[in-house]
Amino acid sequence: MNPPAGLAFMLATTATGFAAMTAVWALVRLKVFAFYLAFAVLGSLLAGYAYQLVLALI
Amino acid sequence: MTTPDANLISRTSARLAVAKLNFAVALFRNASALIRRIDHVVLTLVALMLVLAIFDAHLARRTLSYVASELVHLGPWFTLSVLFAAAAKATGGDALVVRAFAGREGRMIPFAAIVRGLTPFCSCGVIPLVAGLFGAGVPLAPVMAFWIASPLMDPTQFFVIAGSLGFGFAIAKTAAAIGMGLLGGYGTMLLTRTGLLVSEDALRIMVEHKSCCKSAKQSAAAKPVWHFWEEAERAQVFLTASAATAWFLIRWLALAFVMESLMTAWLPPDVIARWLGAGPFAIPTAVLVGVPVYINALAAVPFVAGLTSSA
Repeated sequence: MNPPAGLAFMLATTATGFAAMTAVWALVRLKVFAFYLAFAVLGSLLAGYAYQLVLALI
Repeated sequence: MTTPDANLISRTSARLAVAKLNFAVALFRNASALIRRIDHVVLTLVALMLVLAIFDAHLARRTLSYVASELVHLGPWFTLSVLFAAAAKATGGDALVVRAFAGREGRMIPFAAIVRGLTPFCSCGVIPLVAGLFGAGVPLAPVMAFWIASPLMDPTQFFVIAGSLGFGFAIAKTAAAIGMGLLGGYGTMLLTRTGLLVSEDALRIMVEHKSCCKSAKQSAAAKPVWHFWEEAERAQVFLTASAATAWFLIRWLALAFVMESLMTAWLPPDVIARWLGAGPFAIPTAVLVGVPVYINALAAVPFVAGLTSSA
């Protein structure tokens, strides 16, 4: 696994960890929770690709 | 001589029987009300632990000690946050924060994302605070930014990552945490502007929604009363709010920690490692695996270090 994929994995697994999701799940409606998940997934993907781009440029 | 006595006795015993029956009915009603009130979280928790204790006592014990140690570890932050949130409500100070946020949503999002990316507490420790602000009327977007950035970075993580994966990686993850916070915050702002999400309707079950709004409204007219313990009503609000929030959250967190413990036990890192790959789809695969799988943020560091160095 290359470092960008490692970063993407770390971000995705922490952002959707049980304790972090509980903070959201316990408080808001399902729809907001779904958007939280969507942002977490999209963000991890973008961050992985951005890191890859940065590493390629450096 | 004896007949009135016997009458009396039979009447009393009949009354006694009726009373007993009433008592039993009341007891049954209370018990069923109690079961209904001991919500699904506690029921799930108890059922899960019972099943676990029957089938795998060792894991049950390990899970219990994990939950206990996590709760203790979280304790100071949690207590502070519960008390702070309750005080904000009791003093009416929450209205000040709401006013600070009002109309500055766009500026509050980076603030929330950066602050959260750099400060050392788990998002679960500050839920009471967030819930309180939320209840008082802070918009959803900065809260979302705060939530997303929250678990992704803190000083401990930064140094562990810098030591194991290098300084560059630590910087990259910090930037990613803040960037993801911004994405979540501005994305939510966009969603609320277009009407896809309604900020006021976002809350599921609110902890004492009424009293908070009353206090917020009160203090919109009057200034916050910082010495809330000098007024009986405000002191009462403080006590009920802290008790309600603490109880509400401890149940949820206990359940979350049980799930964490079970996932760590049933899905060891070397199994997860097999699913992760290299090649052009390494990044989407990593995200796809990362979402359902849970690895503690600090435990993920040596795990990823091992995988990236072997590839």
